[in-house]
Amino acid sequence: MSAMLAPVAPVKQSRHITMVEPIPGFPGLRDFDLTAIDDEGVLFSLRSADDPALRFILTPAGTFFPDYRPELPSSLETQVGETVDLLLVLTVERGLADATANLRAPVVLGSGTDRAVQLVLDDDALPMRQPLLTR
Amino acid sequence: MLILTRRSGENIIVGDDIVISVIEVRGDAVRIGITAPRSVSVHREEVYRELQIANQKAASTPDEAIDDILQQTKGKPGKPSAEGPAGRE
Repeated sequence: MSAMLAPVAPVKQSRHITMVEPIPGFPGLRDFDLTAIDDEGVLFSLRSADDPALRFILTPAGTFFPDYRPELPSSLETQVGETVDLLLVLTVERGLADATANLRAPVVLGSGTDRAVQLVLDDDALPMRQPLLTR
Repeated sequence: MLILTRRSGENIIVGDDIVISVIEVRGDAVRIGITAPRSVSVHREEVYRELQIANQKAASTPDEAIDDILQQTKGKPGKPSAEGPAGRE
């Protein structure tokens, strides 16, 4: 049994996000709220407006992977906007030591549009489970 | 399942606005072109299935694990700015 821990930082101002395509594995859900979890912008929650129990943890791509510059298709511009932020979906069981980021399918968020898509990059060298810590 | 025989350079039309083109056949590999409206997403099946599973797993991150990441990255060099995700062309 793990000890009781302090709750995650209180919810800050949320940004309502529309997924222009549903997140693979979660059909039908398009409305999400993106909320910073901490003050430093390390982690964000992406929570379904229709199913609040569904939450993804995202991190801005540059936080742990400053050299991550995938080639993005030009069709993104009409999908989500001209300028985009890249957010990586994290999978975490216990903590930082086992945390992985999905570099193959980042969430691409239009900076001014509040439209986003989880984009599958056409590069099979990019892992879906890249550890945050290099060993 | 509808099964059709097509040669290199021939197409299949699905509905009004989806065209599947056989670009090249070489050995056991077929290059296929797909023209579809943006509202239709197209994926390699095995990649899409893997992503579905990865997303299902990502959706079950416990709060304690989030706390652990925040505690271990707090004040470390290389942390991001407080402005959140940086803009990118």
